[in-house]
Amino acid sequence: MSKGILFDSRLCIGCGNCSEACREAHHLSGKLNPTDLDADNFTVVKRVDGYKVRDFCRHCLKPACASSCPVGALKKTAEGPVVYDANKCIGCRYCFVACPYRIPRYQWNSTRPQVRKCDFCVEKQKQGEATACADACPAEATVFGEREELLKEAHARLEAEPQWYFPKVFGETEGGGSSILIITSPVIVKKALIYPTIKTPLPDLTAAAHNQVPFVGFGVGTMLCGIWWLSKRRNEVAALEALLRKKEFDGK
Amino acid sequence: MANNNSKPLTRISTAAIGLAVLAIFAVGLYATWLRFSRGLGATTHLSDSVPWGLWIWFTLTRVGLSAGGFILAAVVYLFHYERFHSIVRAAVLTAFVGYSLVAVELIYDLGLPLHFWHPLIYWNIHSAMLETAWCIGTYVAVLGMEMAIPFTEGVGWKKIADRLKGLVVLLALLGAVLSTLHQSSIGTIFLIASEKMSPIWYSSWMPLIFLASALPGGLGFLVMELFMAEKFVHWRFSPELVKALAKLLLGTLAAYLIILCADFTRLGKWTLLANDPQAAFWLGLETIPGVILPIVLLAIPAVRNSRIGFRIAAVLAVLGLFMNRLNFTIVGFLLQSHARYFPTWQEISITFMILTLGVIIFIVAAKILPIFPAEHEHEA
Repeated sequence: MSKGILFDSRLCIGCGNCSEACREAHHLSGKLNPTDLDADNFTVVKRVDGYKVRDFCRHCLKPACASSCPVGALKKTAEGPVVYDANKCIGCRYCFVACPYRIPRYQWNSTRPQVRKCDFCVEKQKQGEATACADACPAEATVFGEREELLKEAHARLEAEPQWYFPKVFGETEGGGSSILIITSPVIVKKALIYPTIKTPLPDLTAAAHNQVPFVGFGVGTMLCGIWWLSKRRNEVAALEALLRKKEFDGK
Repeated sequence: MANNNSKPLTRISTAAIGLAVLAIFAVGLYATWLRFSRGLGATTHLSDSVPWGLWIWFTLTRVGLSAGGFILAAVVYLFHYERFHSIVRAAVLTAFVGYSLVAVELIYDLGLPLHFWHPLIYWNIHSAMLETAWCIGTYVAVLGMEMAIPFTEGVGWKKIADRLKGLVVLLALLGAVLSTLHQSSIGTIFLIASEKMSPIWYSSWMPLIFLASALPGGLGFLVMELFMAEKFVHWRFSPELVKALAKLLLGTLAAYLIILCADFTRLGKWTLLANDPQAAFWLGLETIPGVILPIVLLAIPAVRNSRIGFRIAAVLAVLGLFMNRLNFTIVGFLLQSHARYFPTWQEISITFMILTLGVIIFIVAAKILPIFPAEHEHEA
């Protein structure tokens, strides 16, 4: 069993306590009420026509960032969090290219920049505590718990208020699913929510080609050896034939 | 300078080129100092929504442009096509310089350049980028051994040179396998960005498309370098070599175009293209002057067998590769995210400096090492 967060747009009052608690828990210098993520704001509340939705790392079950990182600086832990190790990171920013949610933020103004994003309060979780954002939410719009249970709860809420919600638990299957689950309104889905439309985990797209590498390498190598032998033989035969023809000619 | 016709005009133009090079290095080195003392944010227009820019574009293009090295080594040593023998060392030199510059350029682009060696010890075997890095790294070692032949010959270590010559077939084989793998793996790198790239460029065939586009681009760049070398060393294209290389270039361009069209048909991209004028514009900029026009030129025997026609086709193929990699690394992403990007003067000047550095290394190496066959040296 792994942990998850359920965010429910219908219950969100837009107070921004989650964002503030996150900054406090991670000692971030980010400003109050940010409108977008940055290196010092790991979660924001986005507003569209009176509707609200949180934007933060979804902690994918099969994260694109972790599979793309050449040095394994990003990792999915069994408990749920996708964590970052700055000591391994080389700063190639492939994770920025890979992330379907456009989550990672960089310390562009630093000469030793790190990749910054929500860490699912991994340290608090180790103490058996809930995430800072879930603790701080006064409206129970952000709930921390077992992902499986939250998923059931999310579906129950969709069934209870079908006219309010977009009929989908985002994060259940999109891009292979994520630890973070979001239920929200059709307006948000239309205007503010970024989600992969495919259900295939994104790392599988890479794997389809990547797993062929040994076979391609071996196949190309074998083929070239064959060509080397054949073309060598062809030249030898041609040279021999020329020699024979010359001898024949000389003989006459 | 007995072998140079030292007319006054030549002296003036030499001085002008020298001054331009000095200026490029002065600005480039100043930009380098700014880049490493102030960070990426202060010196580039890269951002969270545009994480890869000019430098990555040039790096990926350069890898493609260096494909001539493995193609010629394979054609001469594995396919036994002796008529290309006179340029195989020049091709290997081109690749060796190209990949060295890839390393230089990556140091600029990495956020933590001091960690550049981490892929040696920290492995994420699922990462297409790790595989690419390893294939390129080992291929540079292969190129180093191939370059050691003219080097040891030039220095006069005949015994070592002869030993190394016994390895050429093995090195050509390793080079061809490693190049096939990393040229295509660069396409694999983009597979994970399925919905962040314009569907005009995204395809599960990207590994094949990257490999297939690198072949004419790499050959074209080699031809450009050879025409440049004619000015500095006593070596001239023979009409037979022009003929043979032009056919090879035509063949690789045609193969690439067929693969591209097959992919468009397979994924139904033609209708997509008709409804997306912006993407159509950029794709047109890439394929019409960079693929279709050189095919048309090379298909005409009179053009194909003329020096100037052949040279123009080669330049077009190189520009085509540049545009192709631009679309894959930058344009395809911007069209999807609607973000904006134009490089800073620091990004541009550093790119120019690295480019100039490559040309200088190539010319110096071609002049002091036995890169071109000796018998031709006495002809001119």
